[in-house]
Amino acid sequence: MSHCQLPEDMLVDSLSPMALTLEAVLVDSPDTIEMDASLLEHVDTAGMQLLYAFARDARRDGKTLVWHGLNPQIVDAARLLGMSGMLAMTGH
Amino acid sequence: MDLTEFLAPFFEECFEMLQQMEGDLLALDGGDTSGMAERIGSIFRVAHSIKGGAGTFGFSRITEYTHKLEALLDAMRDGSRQMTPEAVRVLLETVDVLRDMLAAERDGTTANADEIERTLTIIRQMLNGESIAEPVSAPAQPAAVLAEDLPGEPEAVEAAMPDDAFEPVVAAPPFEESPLEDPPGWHVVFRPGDDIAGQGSDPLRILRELAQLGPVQTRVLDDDLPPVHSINPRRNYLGWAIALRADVPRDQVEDVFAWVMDQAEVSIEPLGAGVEPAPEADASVWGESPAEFVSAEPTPVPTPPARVGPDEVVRPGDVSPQAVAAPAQPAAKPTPAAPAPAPASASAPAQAPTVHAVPARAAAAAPGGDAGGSIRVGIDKVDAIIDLVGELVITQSMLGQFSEEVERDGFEVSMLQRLKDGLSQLERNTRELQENVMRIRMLPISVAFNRFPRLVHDLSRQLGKQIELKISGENTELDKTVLEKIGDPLVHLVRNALDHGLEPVDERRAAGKPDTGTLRLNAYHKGGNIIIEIGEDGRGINKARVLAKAREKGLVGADEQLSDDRIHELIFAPGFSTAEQVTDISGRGVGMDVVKRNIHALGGGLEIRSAEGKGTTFVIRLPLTLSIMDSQLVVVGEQTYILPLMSIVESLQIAPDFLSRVAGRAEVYKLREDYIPVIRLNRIFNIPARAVNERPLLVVIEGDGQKVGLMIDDLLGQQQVVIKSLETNFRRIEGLSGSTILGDGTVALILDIGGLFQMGRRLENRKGAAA
Amino acid sequence: MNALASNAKPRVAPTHSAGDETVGPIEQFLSFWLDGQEYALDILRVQEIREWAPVTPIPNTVSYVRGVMNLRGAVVPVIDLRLRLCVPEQAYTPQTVVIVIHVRGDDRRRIMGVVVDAVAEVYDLAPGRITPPPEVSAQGLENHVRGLVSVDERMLTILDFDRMLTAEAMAVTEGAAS
Repeated sequence: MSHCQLPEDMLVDSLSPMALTLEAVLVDSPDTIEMDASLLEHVDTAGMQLLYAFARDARRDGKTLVWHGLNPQIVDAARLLGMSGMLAMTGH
Repeated sequence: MDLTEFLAPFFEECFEMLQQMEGDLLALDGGDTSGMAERIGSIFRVAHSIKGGAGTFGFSRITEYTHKLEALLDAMRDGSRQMTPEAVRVLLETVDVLRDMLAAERDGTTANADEIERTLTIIRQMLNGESIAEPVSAPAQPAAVLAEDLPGEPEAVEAAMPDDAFEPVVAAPPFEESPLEDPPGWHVVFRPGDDIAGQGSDPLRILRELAQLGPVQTRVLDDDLPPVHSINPRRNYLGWAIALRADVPRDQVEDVFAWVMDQAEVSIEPLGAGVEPAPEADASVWGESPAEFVSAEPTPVPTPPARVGPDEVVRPGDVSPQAVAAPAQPAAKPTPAAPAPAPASASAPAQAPTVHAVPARAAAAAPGGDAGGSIRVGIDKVDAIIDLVGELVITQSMLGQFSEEVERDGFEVSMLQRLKDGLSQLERNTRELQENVMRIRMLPISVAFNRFPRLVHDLSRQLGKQIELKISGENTELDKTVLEKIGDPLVHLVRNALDHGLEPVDERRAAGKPDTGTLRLNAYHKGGNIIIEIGEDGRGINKARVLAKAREKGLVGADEQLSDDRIHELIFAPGFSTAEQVTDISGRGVGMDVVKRNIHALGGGLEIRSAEGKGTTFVIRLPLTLSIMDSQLVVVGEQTYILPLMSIVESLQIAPDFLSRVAGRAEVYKLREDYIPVIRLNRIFNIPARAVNERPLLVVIEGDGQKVGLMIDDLLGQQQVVIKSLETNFRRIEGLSGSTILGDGTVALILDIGGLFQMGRRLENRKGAAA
Repeated sequence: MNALASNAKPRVAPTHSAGDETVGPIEQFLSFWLDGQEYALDILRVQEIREWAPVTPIPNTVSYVRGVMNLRGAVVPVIDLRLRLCVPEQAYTPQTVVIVIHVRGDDRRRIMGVVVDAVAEVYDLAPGRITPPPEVSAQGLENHVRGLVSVDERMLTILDFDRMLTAEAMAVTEGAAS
């Protein structure tokens, strides 16, 4: 189990450091990646795009994402962007 | 340990958390049961955090209170107590009590003890599973009252038995299960350009807006999305195919994409007809079951050219002056010939004076900027700046190395490209650094929007209207100062919309509208501006009545015919109010003119769109920040001045025949059907204009709803400028709103449109008197 | 970092030690030339000395406000001291400098540039040696003079810029006069 704490904002201008972190998580983690979104409050398309790519690559590598502390706005963003399925973020 | 310095942030955080708690409660109150558990958890955490903080600072009453509250919330969290509408109402009251208690601690006053006791009693009763006996509060059947007021949720009325939870009753079916037989709708394929974020647009916001038209089902088109390690986060790789199940006209769908039409591929086709791919569409079509996408192999959708990488390199000649301005700090040059001071001193050897120089302050106070205050900045924003500073240092050392090479080996033309590359890298670093530093002051508009759910909730009861508030774009960021100053105008517009815009239920019924009126708050970026829309589906502006009133007040001549827009504009006229009677809600005194003036003072604009019987929308346009402005450089004589781009209507070459003097007084210019007053900038500033200028230009500017032509010698480019107050070290000067530093290091003055108008008027009056 | 040291011109002359007969803290003064007269000001008010460079004129201000300059991003007014003290105007020379000073008044501190003919020297002066200005000075300067001091048989006029460069004194001429 590997733990990944997401920041408060995942917005287009703050993502560069995140991309590196996510990549490292992907390489390092065993089968299940625990995604802690309890801080995550603001996302935009760029932020969701990054999460989506991460989730897709994780799935390709046979890894599972487990979400914690998702705020309804994030879930809603995933739904609107057609990403709920890939992100395994299908509501509560 | 002295904790006092932590007190202010503690209070600040508590109030923020309470706001969030209130938001969660209102969402539950509004029947939004999505993520019920999440919301209860989040409410619990608020109570818990406040308890912890209050304990640290020794606010024992708050600790006790939140402890009880926490116990109740904990019980709700584990399901042993239900989050009923009644509970929501009580918890909303605890928010008020906590605010009161916190404010009392902060200000050294006393909190309302009766309220504390009353709510504590209720909490205790709920915790013990007792029915709530509430002698103090007026409404006899609180639960029923609450439920009746729930907008547009008839089921909720039946459901409002004290012990019913929301979840089973009003839970909206998840989208996937929404009825498929909903006949009409649209199939939209939306492929934004890869730089859509750079253009200030967020597809998510657009999809959110689309979803307001009706239920949407989205499929992401991710064929171009690279693996996570090679993603450039600024670039958009995705597209979306959306099924919108709503019987709305096509242009309404188009409107949603209006701002991005030039940055995106958008195709909109009727849902049913989608089996055969539309001519120039589209990657995907609907299969038999509309719930599923059948992905056909894409007709290649032309991808806009990549706008990252080399394209970002600006030609050296193009280097934005502003970006250069920051580092262009000319080193003090030694003076070659020092004049021997007459009384050459005999005493000591020459040396620089020993002076404790006071470090130069970077005096960049924004006009009207708050002196004190603090700002909490996400660590990510700081990290981004640190990254950029790192890049800047690399660029600097690269250029330093280059200069050493030139010193050693001499300069060769072949090296020019390297120099150019280095400089454009510097330019890019500087620009990014500037953007990121500006972002530190940026806060989401939700800070201002947050107060509205409660306001609307309370006011709708007070007014006896059913109102649903829809907020979108609340993450749109703007400068803290602008944000603080827009709060009051926003509240005024919202109150006005609730009070005058939206009709009472009977009037809505008579007009064939749904009982529940909708108030929509929306915010988004467009160019360098933030747009805030406050719209309702109320009665719209009664043009006949406005016109009659304006005629009565002499604002409009008896026979004068006005366009709809002009009539709408009339409500911004000073002292104009059409409300039949002054009410508590919008109050007396503050008129729309004040709102408009406030927004103008921020360098923004206020527009109105209204259709009788359908509703009114106010559109506020504001600069993202007060310290940066989009501007037009103009030349008069030897001087360059800065005009706010927002105030410019158009620029034109002066046709001498159209320039005339009315009765030897004011100079006017015939602009199509109108005559507009002309201000010669050189005259009001007492500076020489160009001696010979065959083709002076007229810049038509607008302020206070009035147009004036500004006569100038030449137009230079447009650019963003950083505003520097003249008052910091000097004083206020009429006709100037500040200054800025241009790319060559010189100072240019920023023109104040309002001031120019006044000066122009005075000049004409004096001429008139002299004539 | 000493901003003055890095920006000061080498022409500044050696420190004078002008009298130690009075007990008390020694104050340092920077002197400069204006129309053949030597003036001085409290050196702690001096931020730096710069070459004259063209400034941006401000419309409708008194003539001695030459305009504003860019001082590392700060916008700073530049005063022509000849014009301010009603000394005949003279074309600027390569020796003409701008002394950047702090001016206090109106509850705040402002930075201003003062154009003088040339910088002269730095003096150490005991406050006791400074005599109050005479009631009436030839040039009507009494409001701007903090005191007089004689050094090496010469008379040095110490100016009070706080009183000379108040916001009021920067008053705007009536706009759009002509």
